Amino acid sequence: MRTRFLAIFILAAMSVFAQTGRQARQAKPKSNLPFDPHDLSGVWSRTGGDRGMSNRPGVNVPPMTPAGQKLFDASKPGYGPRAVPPATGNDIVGECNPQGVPRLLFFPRPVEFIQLPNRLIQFFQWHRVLREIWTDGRKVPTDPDTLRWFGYSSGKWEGDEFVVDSYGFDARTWLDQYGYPHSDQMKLQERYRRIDRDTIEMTITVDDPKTYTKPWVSEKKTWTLLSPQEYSLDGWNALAEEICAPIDEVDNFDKRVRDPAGGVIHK
Amino acid sequence: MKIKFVVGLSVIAGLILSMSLAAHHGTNISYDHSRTVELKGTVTEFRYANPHCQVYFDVKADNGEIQHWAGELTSPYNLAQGGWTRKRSEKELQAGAEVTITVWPSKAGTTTGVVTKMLNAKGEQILLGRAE
Repeated sequence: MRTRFLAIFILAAMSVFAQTGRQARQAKPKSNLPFDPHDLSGVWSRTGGDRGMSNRPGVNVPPMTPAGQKLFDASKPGYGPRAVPPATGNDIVGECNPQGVPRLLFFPRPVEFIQLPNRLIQFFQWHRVLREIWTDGRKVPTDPDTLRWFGYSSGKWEGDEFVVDSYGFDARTWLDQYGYPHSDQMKLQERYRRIDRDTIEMTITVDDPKTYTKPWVSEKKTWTLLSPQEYSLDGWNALAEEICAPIDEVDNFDKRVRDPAGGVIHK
Repeated sequence: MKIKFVVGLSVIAGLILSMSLAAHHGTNISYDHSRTVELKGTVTEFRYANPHCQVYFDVKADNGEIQHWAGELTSPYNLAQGGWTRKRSEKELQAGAEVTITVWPSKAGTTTGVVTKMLNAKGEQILLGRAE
């Protein structure tokens, strides 16, 4: 009896503590305040959904082409079932290189959506990135002269869904932290729907015939609206600065902690 | 048998607690999460830097040898959200400060680890970051 009581107590404690850490980013109780479904302005944080295209790495991944499989086999991520110590991996983010999208959309950090008459700007706290999604009617280039880490993006409303089409990506980024590749032919589509004042749902589709034999539709991700008290630091009502600077990360953390932890010692 | 069961649950609960302090980064695979190592040492350097804070400290081994340890912490943003601002953190971890640091050690056997718990000389827990 006593043992059973102890077991129940420990399990309850585990549950409480497991929840505590996540509360900051879990969906809050839905507010009944009015909202405009065509207004995505605000500071949001990714809450529901995994940090990859799928709800678990390796699940619901479309079959790859031989070229895609070759890229996948060559990628050595630090996360997921294929994780290797980053000291021996090849995730370019470890040296502060750009994450690109969709990967940056998966990371649970504040992102300010700034909705202007001609574009929506996503201002990511993580790595302090600005991404422009043009809403002035332009089409994304089909043969851009220069590939970009964040591609070229245009958005439009389809009913209450904000649909973003992007193209022209630098193929050195991965789709997510699990090392899923893409090519420079990737077409990316994001669909955002504000379902209440505090929640946006997002689905991402990767259409990349050079890498995957059919389009890859992500699980549904959610964003939760944050108040300034939730994201601000030290009373400064603004996003924090989380820049990955090589002088800090590469010259110090990587050489002095990350690499030795993985068995690679720098003399 | 019952005792083993309860002890097992306690270990799992402890792991979950530790994880809330652990790094948010892809380095976790480099560390042995099945065991912790408690180290008493002296801080030599602390870096409150993005995206990984770091603490460097010296530990005197049983044979008298001084080991130079490096501990990985979460990001400044997560620390600050838990109340551990730069000035407060740097005040606690000035060079020469006596600390007791618990880590998941490197699988490679080097003197590196991801910090799961840190106590100051008064035995107070310091630098608790927000869970990722």
